[in-house]
Amino acid sequence: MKISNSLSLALLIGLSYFLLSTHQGMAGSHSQPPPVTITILPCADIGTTYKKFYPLGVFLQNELGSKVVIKVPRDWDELYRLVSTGETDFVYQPPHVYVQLEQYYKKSDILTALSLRGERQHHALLIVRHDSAINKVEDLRGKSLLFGSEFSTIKTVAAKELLQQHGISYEKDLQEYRYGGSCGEVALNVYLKAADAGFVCEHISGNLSSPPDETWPIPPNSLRVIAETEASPTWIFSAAKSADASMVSAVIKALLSLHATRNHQALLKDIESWGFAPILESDLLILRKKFL
Amino acid sequence: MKLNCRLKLIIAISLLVFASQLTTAYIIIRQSAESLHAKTHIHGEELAKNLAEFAGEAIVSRNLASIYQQIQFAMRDDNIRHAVVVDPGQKVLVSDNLEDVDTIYPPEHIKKFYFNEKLDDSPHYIDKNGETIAEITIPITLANNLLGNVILAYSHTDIDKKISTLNNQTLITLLVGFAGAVLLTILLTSMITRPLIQLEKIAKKISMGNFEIEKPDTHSNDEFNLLSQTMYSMAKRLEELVYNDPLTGLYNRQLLNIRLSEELARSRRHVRPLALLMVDIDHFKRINDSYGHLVGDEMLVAITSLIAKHIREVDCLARFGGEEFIILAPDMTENNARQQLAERIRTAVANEEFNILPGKQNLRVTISVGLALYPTDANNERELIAAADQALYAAKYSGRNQVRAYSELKDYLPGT
Repeated sequence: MKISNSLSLALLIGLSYFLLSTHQGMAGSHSQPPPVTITILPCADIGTTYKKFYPLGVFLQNELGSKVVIKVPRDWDELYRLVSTGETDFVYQPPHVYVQLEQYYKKSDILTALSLRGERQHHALLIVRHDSAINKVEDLRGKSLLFGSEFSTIKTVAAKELLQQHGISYEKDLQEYRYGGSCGEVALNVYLKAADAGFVCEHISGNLSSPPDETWPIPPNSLRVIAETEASPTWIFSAAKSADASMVSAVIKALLSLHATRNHQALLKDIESWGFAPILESDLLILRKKFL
Repeated sequence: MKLNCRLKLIIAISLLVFASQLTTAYIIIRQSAESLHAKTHIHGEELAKNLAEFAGEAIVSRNLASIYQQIQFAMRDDNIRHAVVVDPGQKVLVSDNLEDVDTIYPPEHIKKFYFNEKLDDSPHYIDKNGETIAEITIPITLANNLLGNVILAYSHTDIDKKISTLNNQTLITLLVGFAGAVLLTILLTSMITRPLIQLEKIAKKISMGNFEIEKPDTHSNDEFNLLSQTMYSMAKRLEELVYNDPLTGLYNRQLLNIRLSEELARSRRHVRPLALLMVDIDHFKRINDSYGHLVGDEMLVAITSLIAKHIREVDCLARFGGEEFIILAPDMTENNARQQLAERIRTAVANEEFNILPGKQNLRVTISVGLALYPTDANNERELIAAADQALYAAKYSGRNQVRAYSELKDYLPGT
């Protein structure tokens, strides 16, 4: 299984090189600026994450005139290696990951990706089937549960805190727990009874009562929310210390301009964000206090 | 209704071609239908097997959402109408329609039947849209444990449409081919039967006494042409036997009647007179009695040969009977000319010495001639011959070896 994951990662990285270089075209191939490498932490499986962020890569490539390489690490070790060795210029990560790797990033030029509602903080929802006997967090005892990605702050870290606050040890009291994929996959697995409950991002709460389109196949009102996690700052876009200052400046400028352009609304929707904004020092203080 | 040979040939060959085309078309349609069913079934089976293989691991890892994604992928195929993963108790785990989850498959309203076991041995049913649906079931196993089944339902609509299109195309091809075959058959049978029809026409003409037939082309040597040539020869020989006097070779009385009718018609049409000269050899019986009938016959031949030399090309000389002959001389408007012709013939015979008996003296004979004119002396053939006969009688009565015209004596005849 590990071999298969590694292979898929290698293929994806190779594919990203190819596709992004195709977009850049032939012009200027002799005096090409060095590629910009952005590491994206997966909130779902690697393939889905790559597909979601590919348009952002194309956007930046067009804005910067440089190749943009998107890397999606398989696990924490790979992420640590990419960041600590300066193999990546930027990292897009959940806040608790940022705090742990802060020493490798520039102190300035830090952006946060606002939630779809334009908020600086968001939280996760604990969902069950509408006909489930689980009505509160304590009822999860002896049941199966789906967290989000292992990297997710709200669907995994904050979710575990929620369980702990209600006296449930996810390692001892649950019949089984698994790290799920995207919010849609978690919700579908709960609906299909592959798990008794699961954590999803708050922005899909509207889908539960009125599905937005055919991409949300779950019948309306077949899932219900029984709890929500504490709010946490949204995802953080940070520059590595080794990154070129002018390049960092250009990337930050491009990202901050994203929301103003109507053409890029689809791109932002893909990455489940309203747009980028400079992070507040107060948010960083909260994060350091919470996750360090 | 009697069918002629050509029509029979056309119908027989056309039916043969039609039957052969129909058989070929049936085989093609049948084979294509079987192939289409097999292709669709194999494709569906492959999809179901892939889904079953994937579902095995997904069920064990309890990631049913990923099965749903695979089902969605399978549903992109236009023919697939339904894809379901059930547990061993037939309870729906995942379905393309998520409302079906937790229900028992198949629903009660589905009544399965077998469509055509030769074409497709899968169970079938009619769905609520009236479509015929075939169902493929593939077990989901992992390490020899049965985890459930994948049920894939595909529609026959596409197959039926393709078969219907094929039927239409085959039918059009069949009709066009048949029309072409009929045209070709008509052409071929016409080519084959044309000489036969010509022969039939010739035979009909001959049977009606008309021997004026075209000489067949002698360049071609095919069987029909050879037959035509033989028939032409037969007709000519028959014409001789029917219309010619076997002794003298002159026209016989039968042909004389025909020619007389024709000449009279022409005379009426062109308002030109027709002279009829009746010639009789004087005392011919004496020659037969004295020298025998063979000498008599020879005399007849010699005299007719002589007479023939003194008539015009347009004139017609025929043996009327025994030693009597008739000459039809059209377009002789002058009395003198008619008279002169008769006299010329009479004189020629009278002056001729016939060398019939070798080593003996030559024979001499005379003739008497009766002359009548149409329309002056008669209104029809019968009257004209009768008038000439009366004139001949007058010539005989007056002493023989002379020419007498009917116009000279009609004032003396009773009833005139």
